[in-house]
Amino acid sequence: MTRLLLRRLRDLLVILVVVGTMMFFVIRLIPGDPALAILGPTARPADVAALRSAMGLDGSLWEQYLSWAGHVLHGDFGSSITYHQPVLGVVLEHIPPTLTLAVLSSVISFLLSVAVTSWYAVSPRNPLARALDRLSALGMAIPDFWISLVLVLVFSVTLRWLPSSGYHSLFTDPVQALPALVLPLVVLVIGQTALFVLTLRESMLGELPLAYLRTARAKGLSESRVMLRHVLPNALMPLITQLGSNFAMLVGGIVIIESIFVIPGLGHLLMGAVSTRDFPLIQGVTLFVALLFVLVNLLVDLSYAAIDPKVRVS
Amino acid sequence: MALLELDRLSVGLVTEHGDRELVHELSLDLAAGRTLCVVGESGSGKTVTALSIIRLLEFVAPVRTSGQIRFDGEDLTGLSPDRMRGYRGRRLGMIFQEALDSLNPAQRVRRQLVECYPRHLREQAEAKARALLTEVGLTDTERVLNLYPHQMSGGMQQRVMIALALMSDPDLLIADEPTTALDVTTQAEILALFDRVRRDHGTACVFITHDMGVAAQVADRIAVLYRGKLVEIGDRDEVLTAPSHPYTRALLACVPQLGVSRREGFPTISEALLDKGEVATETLVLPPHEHPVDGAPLVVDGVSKVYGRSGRSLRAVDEVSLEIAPGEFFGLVGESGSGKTTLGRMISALETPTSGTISFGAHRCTPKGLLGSEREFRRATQLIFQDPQSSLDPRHTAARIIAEPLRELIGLRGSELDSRVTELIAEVGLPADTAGKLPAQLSGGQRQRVSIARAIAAEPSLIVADEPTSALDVSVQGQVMNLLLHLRRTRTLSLLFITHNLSLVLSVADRVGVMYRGELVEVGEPEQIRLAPRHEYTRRLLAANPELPRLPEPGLLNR
Repeated sequence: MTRLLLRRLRDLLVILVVVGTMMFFVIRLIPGDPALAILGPTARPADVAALRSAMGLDGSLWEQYLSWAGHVLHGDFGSSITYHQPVLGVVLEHIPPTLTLAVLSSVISFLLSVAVTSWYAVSPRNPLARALDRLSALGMAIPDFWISLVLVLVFSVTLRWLPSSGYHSLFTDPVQALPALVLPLVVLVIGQTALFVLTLRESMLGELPLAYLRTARAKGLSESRVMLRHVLPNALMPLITQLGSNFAMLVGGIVIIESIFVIPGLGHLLMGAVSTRDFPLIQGVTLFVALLFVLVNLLVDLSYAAIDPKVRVS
Repeated sequence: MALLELDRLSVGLVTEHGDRELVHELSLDLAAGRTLCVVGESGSGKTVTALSIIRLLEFVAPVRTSGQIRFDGEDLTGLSPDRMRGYRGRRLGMIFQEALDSLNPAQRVRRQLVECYPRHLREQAEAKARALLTEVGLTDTERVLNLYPHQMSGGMQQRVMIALALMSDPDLLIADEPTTALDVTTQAEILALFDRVRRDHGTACVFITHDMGVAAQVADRIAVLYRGKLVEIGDRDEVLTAPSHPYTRALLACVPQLGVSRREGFPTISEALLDKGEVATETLVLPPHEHPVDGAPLVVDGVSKVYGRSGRSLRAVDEVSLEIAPGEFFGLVGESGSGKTTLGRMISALETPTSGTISFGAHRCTPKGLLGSEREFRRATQLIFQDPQSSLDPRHTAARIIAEPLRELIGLRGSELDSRVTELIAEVGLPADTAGKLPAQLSGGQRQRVSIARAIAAEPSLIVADEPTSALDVSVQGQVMNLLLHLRRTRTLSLLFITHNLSLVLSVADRVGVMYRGELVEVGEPEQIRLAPRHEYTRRLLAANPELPRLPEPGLLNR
């Protein structure tokens, strides 16, 4: 276990260095000068040059990179150009909305998919169970921005039941927060549940021909017990992998949902940073998302050890 | 009244092109407390029969059943799924072949044993589980109950499986090849245990096996199935010593036996003769030795292989030295974990030894790896593996598989390559249209012939064959052995034949080596090993070897 943790810590460092370096050079390929973007097209060249130097954008690319890397090593991610604040603070401020959406939607989708799949496994002839199971392919196919727009049109514009946008912290103001969270959560849950149901069903189909189920039936267990006690628990492994990688994707990628529902999360922040050429902020956000990605996957590996006796032993 | 009666039972697999009959009008019966062995080769329908009695087949395949299975007077085929479930695990218990696969890998033994009891009887169930585990020889019950299946040895797993089947005191036990995956010494223990437990509980038993030797040990009566039909049923001694059906006689003649030399070829079953209802064994005539035997011997000198690092290391092979002369058939016998496969892999340079050297002509395998040209070495040494199903690329045709070494090791191209492949396919006795077929389209025996053709393609002087026949039926095993014997006479070829089958290797090899826990404990000629074993372990192996009662010689069967 300690060796796993140490190995993962090493991987984490390597990934952060690679991601940080790549992002540093890639964003400098984007056409457009941040100093010019801030001062506007009418600025005098001297002012632009002064600002560039203040932002650490003068000198060769190598010099810029080394000075940036040196600051990062000291915990200084620079200042955001647009927010005029340290990058770290800006990023931390935008984490709660994204994390709220990601955690809630992952948990709900996990529970829903296990429930739907078990129901279908136990009573494959029930028309509703079968319909829900089959709908998963549809859920995968429909783009989330389309569902978002339809839901907003129906529940916010026409029926006026739910707000179409906005965000309040779930911890400080739950009464206001919940209604605003419903629509974005529903959109995220539909896509994820569909994916999870497909994963779980595939994995359960893989378990069905295995010989230990024959033994379970030879004991005289009912089909529903065979499914719930033997097939389902053993089929959960791939779903947990899926859950982990999906969660990490959510944290970095709820850009569309955050834009549509005007939620001030990380995706929203990143979109803004890219369009204003806020280099330090882009670098800060990507580094943070990479960190989260690795941490979540570590969590997934640790949960394997907790679930699978074979991993635990070796 | 009989406890179990099968009355014209037919089982068909429902396919798109109509039913494919797996068992045809099978009628037999079994009295309470007795054991019936159902013997047959693969495809005989023996496992289908077993699974049909307990009605487990319908969960995995669409089947149509006709006829009756009367258990205690009740026809099981007519029961609703719910009522049938009441029989399973309560009055009918089942033991499967692969105990590891047949236990849930993610649950402890305790949970799997007590599962079939209702919740309020859990304490009673656990007491019963402990009693049964003690009875099957796992006296350390508390520890065993907390183990996961993969933490136990094969023998322990099968003991747990037996305990599991007995949890609800069934009247009838169905055992499907329960010892096939086990070593002979473990098999002997489990068979003895099984017999004792069965008698103590007064349980009747349907015992499925392909092994006549095993049937001879456990059966009261023996039923012989061939292609889904019952060809013979009778008391054990009658079937074994005075078989009435030609197929039974042929099957018995094919079983390798201690003290019967097969160096001039194995008898095989001729389906053509069998269809005419005649004596069904054929014995081929091997060609005389054509090749002068020359070349370099294989010399294994003080070779060890240690896995893992110091502290938790495992000596898989421990200071083994042996020499195989050019043209020699050397049999290496041992149980799982004895290091015989590891030794074979080092000799074929798939593993490097931890210490010691292996030399073969100009080639040297040392702890630093293979010295010299690997291509030259592969031309000289080739391998045949146990399972032709998984050792052949499923997406390559037979011709492509056989052509690969010709192209890579010899550099043949174009029409020369094609004609060589055609020759090889004919040489191993395969029909010419095999060339375009995929492994999945071939039978087990045919696949192993393809492996052999691939192995001899580069004209090696040594073949390492690791259990090449253990996945095959006895009659097919005879065919493959005959092919190997034939090749040895027409080429200059030494064979290192690795197997767990003592009877087989003693009947054909020039010399036999016995491995035990990484050490080569004894090397000698077959007769010497059989009649005057020097090592204690060899004596144990001989004692555990399942044997048939003395039969008339195959020649006498050809009346």
